[in-house]
Amino acid sequence: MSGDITGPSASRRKALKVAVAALCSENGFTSSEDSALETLTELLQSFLSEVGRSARAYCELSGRTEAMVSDVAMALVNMGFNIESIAGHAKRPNKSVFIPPAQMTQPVIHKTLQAGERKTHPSHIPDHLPQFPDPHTYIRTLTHQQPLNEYQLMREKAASQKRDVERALTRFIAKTGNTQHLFKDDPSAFPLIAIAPSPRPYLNALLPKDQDLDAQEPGETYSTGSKKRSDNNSQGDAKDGAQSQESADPDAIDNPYLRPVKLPKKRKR
Amino acid sequence: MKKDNKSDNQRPYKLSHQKICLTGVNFEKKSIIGYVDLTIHPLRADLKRLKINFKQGRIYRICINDQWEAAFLYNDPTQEICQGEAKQRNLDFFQNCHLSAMNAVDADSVNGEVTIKLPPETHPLIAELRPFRLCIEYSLEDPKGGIHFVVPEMSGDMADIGAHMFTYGHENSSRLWFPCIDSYCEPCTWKIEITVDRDMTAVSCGDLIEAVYSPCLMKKTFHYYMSTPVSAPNIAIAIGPFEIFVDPNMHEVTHFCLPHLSGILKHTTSYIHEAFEFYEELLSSRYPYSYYKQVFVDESYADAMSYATMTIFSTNLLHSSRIIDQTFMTRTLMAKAVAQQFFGTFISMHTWSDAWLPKGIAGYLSMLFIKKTFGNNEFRYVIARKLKEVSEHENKVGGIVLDPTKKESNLHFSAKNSHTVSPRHAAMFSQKAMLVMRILEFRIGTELLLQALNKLLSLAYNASQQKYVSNTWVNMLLSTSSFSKIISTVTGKDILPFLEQWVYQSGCARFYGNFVFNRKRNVVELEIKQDNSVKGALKYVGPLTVTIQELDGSFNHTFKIEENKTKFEITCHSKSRRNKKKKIPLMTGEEVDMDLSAMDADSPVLWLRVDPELNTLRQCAWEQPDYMWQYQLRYERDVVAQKEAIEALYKYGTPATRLALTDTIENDSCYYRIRLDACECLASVANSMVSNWAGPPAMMTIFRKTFGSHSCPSIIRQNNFNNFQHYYLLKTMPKAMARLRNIHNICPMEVMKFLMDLFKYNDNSKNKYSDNYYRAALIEALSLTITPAVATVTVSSQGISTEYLSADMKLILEECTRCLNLEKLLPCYRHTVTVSCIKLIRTMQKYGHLPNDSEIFQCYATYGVFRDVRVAALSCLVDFVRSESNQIMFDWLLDLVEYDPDPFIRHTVLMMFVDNPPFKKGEYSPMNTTELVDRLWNLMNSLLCSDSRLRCGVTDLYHTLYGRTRPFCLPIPENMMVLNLKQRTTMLNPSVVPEKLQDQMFEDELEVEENVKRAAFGTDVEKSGQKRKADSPLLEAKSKFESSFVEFVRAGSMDNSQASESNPAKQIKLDEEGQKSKVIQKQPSEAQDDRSHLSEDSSSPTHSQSSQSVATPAAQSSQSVDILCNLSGPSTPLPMDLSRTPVGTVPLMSGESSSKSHKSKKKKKKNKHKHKHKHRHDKSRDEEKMSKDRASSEQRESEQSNSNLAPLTTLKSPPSSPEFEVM
Repeated sequence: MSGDITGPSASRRKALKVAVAALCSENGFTSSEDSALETLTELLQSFLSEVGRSARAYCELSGRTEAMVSDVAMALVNMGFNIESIAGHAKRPNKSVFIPPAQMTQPVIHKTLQAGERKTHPSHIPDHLPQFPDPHTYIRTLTHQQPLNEYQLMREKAASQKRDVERALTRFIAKTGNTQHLFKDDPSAFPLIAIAPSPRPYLNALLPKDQDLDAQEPGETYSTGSKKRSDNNSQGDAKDGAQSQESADPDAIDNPYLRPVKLPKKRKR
Repeated sequence: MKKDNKSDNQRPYKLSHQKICLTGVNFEKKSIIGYVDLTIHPLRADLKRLKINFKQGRIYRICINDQWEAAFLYNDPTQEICQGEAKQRNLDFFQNCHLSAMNAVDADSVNGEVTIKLPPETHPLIAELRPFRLCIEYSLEDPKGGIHFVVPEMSGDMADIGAHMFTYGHENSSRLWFPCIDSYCEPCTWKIEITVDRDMTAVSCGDLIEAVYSPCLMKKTFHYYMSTPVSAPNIAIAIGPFEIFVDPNMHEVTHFCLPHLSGILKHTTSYIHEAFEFYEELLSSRYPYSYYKQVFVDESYADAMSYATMTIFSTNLLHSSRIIDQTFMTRTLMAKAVAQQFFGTFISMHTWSDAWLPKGIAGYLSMLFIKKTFGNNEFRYVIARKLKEVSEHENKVGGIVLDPTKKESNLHFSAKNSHTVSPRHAAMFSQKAMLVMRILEFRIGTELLLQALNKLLSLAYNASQQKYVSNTWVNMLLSTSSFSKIISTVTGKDILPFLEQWVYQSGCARFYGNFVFNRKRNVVELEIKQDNSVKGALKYVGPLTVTIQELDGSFNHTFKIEENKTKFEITCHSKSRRNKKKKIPLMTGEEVDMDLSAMDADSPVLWLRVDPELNTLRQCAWEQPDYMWQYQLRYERDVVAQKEAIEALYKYGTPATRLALTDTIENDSCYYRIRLDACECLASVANSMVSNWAGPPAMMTIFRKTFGSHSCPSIIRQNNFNNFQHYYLLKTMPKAMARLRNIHNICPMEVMKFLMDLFKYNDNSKNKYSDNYYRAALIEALSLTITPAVATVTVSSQGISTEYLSADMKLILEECTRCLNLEKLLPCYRHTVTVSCIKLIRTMQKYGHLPNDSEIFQCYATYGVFRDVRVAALSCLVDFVRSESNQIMFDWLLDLVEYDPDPFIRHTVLMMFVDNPPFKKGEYSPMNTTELVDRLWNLMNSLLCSDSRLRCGVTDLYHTLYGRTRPFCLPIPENMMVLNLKQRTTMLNPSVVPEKLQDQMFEDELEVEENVKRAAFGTDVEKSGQKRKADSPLLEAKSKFESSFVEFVRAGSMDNSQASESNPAKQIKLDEEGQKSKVIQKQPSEAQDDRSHLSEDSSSPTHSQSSQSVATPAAQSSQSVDILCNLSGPSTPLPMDLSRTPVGTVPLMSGESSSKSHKSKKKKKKNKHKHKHKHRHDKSRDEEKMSKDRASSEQRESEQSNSNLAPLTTLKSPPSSPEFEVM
């Protein structure tokens, strides 16, 4: 508690100290050491606190929330304090009068820092409770300047991302594999991956793979992946498609190519 | 020819059944082995010999009824067209020889390569006219044509690596893979047995009866039976590890494809049942066969090849559901193939001259299918396009006669035999046949035509159900005469005038004209003229429809076009513009509001169209003011009219045109192809008004509006091709915009940026269709932006390098590199992007942005790369050869023509050279060398004998390079005078053996006392040969193919070479007898004639002079030879030098000697020729002589049977004189 240098406790302490100093002066002291004064202040503070604590205990004991004079009296009595002396003390002749400490003025909050109108308290909330903070602190507000076109950015980003991936990939392949050049003297400019003849060129051309890359979003990749898998399955199916169809309903489809191959007749041997 | 048909076309026997049994098919060796079994019904009791077609194989044995071996003889003059003749080298000469060689083996004229002598044991059988079986055992090893084996270069089992084979051929080419009567007019029933590895499937014509394992279970045999009579050219087989897919909608239809492709096979074939239903309903007759098979193979000869009950397609037609563009092409082709099952295989042509009927009807039916499936607009658009193609081809190359029997064509090849026609001609021929069939539809009405077709089908169907009885099956053949008979029975109309106009005559009508409105009389005065001076023009006489759109409506007027009448009048219905607010009725009946401010206030005519329904084969250059074209484009509902308007508007670069085009592009209810055309036109119009063009580049706004995203129009939306119209627009607009040019004649900056953005923002992730064609179109657009490089001073030795690239070019190149590289990792469908990239690189090279280099294209053109890519790379190489005159590349490409495994590529390279020749006739080029002439000549003369399409392709190229005359780069030989420029006659291939003589052939050989006569001829020949040698040492140059026609002979009894040796001699004898007297009489006067003739005929002055000087002595000497020949020719043998003609030598040796003798004999003939020609020249002065000459040539013709008809026709057709040719 004493650790606080600022805040209400500091000003309280200051007030107490003034009171203790006044009492000392009443009793004939002209000067005092600061430490002595502090000690006395400490004593006074402890006493007052104890009075308060004890008065509160009495008040709660009697089932109330707000303390009454009687509670304070009881507390003082309990602490062995002579209540009758209070009246005399209050009417002592050389009583020193304090100028009440000036009220601290509320710091003016600059309008510029305030964003939006602050809400007033609803009726059930006492006015002493702090005011609502600026609205933007508790409701979702646009905190930044919205770009003119978000869609544009997104497309831009997606496009450049895609392009970067492609470029990196092709450059890597071009660097690691065989290349062809458009310029004889400058092989590094525009390297082209060399074409490699394949024994069955039609397979690559008719079963294209280019669509996977276009599937940018993860969800999409999954779906194409699964589609591919199912494609593979269907291809696998197709291989024995004849058989499976045949087994499914041999009567429904009468096609000579679906009939089983006959075994050779004996006499043919 | 007609006479020949009448006299010779009676085959003295009929084929009722044929069995093909292939016992072994070896993929490693690319060989087949098997036998055929023909059941033959003799029609004459004295039948002694048969002729069968067979080429390039080996015959082991020929057996009659499994008991008697028959002797046979093999003689194929088509292996070397101009035998031993090394110097002639002009196409007219070649054309003659080619036709006669082809006719000499043509089954239609009862000829064939293999002549079989029936052994005496069979004679009693034949005398009773009892049928007998002819069994021929044969094999083929690594055939050069007819069968294609596709064996991928991988290790593994043949079935696992996808090795397969199929048969192919140009028209009737079945002889290339099995012995048969290779004619469309000899249908019979078939049994086909094929034994293959157990993992393979053999597909063939007919019904699959059963498949049986061999005893060892390692092989299986497929048994097919074809109960409907079919001719041999319609038989095919395909063997491979096919994946089988039975059509779920029609179980009698089966599809076959190579391993791994059945997924896309299912999608591709999913609609084919519609085609069947459509045709069956249309013709109200059932599909004639019980099964239909579609086989998709790699390296196919053509996209689709139709055979009885089956069609062999290119595997590249397969596509998945993600592909848009290919779908239309594939469906069109597949539907046409089904139509060809009805007309083409089930009902086939009788002879080649009737080919236009099945081709035309099948084409017509498939067009009707297009109309039903793709809509009337597409139908009309395609018809108009094909009409344009045909008329342009005829204009460029020459007229196409559909039925060439009556008219001699004036082309560099003969249209009378299917194996001599140029491939481009053949393609145009089918299109023209289709168009003519459509005209017939107009003449007699759709209903009636379909009824006639139905009648044909039902007659044929009834005939096919009959057992073999002679002449019933004729109903399955279609000839011009039978067709017109059917038409007249069904409709009561005589179509002879129609046939005369469009079928027997070549060319298209070429109209041009204009009109003016005469206000006083309220009439429109038209002037319609015909331009008959151009090539392929036809003088049209008949009705012509003109449609006029007036303010009060649209009216048709039919004019009768007559000989000299060019002026016509139309009285207008409307009196100029009375009530302005009235709506204007159109042809379709709808009424529209028009803004009439643009038109002439006095005239009620909005526009006028000639032959709006395309009822004639015509080209029409019609003149009307630009605002009329604009009205026509905006308001005429017919796509053909819109297209015409767009084409006309190219000339009018005005704001009004711009507006009309822009409105058309934006009009969603307008047919998409018109919108695409409008884009192209707008680009051109914008360029022509570039100086006062206001606003953003043309089409930019429309593009942004249509395809830009909502929040940011400059960025294209994510791809969504559900709207096909928009898809096509999306592909076309960038290309059209790339054509835009600014004042400096380069592509505007904005357009470049726009295109680059399209690349950048292309996003196909949400699209259910593939964007491969779109990406390819973008790259094409890039290449269209390229303009010639600013002429930088590239003095440095290294030439063009990266430093000289402009910023734009760098960007383009970067984009190209990225796309091309990405294609290697993630290839797209049919590698369309690669194809475009390759072309882009070539364009950049051509415009000087990249160093000219062929290496990269060469890599892409090698075997093992996908076909489309190869074709693209090859077209770049062809272009390279032209621009760089690069001999090495040219040779490399010619090597490809000669040796490439893929027959389609070989053909394509040739066609590219024809379209983009390395040099043109008369141009100087370092490549124009004697070696090139020799090489091409050898290619067409002998090397490409197993593929007529290729051979004729080379002929086309030769024609493009050298024209019809002798190439100028060749040194003029001493005996130039002999080389008649316009030699259309008599120069016979010595191995073309006339009919009559062939009868004697066997006898000659069997009779041992052949000696005297033959020896006499031999000597005579030797002698003259020697004399000639003295004249011209050139003659010693011996063709290395001399012996090629002596293929093989049966050991012992039959010696082919002897036969061919003896025969020409006889032939000559016959010739000479015919001419002897006259020739001798005229000798003295001819020497001078000859000289004058040469100076007249030869095409260039230098040429003629030099030849003239050389010619005179040679002429005289050759005449002396001539006299000698003529004297000795007839019969009196000169008893000399018997020993020099070997009688029983080894085959090869004798082959050589025989061809040597041919050569010399030909020389004699050549001389004779000259005489004839001289006669011709005399004719102008001497009528009497001419008539005599004609008489003599006629006589000769009758004697020479089938082979040539030239003398008569040459005399009759003046346009084919040399003067005309040399242009």
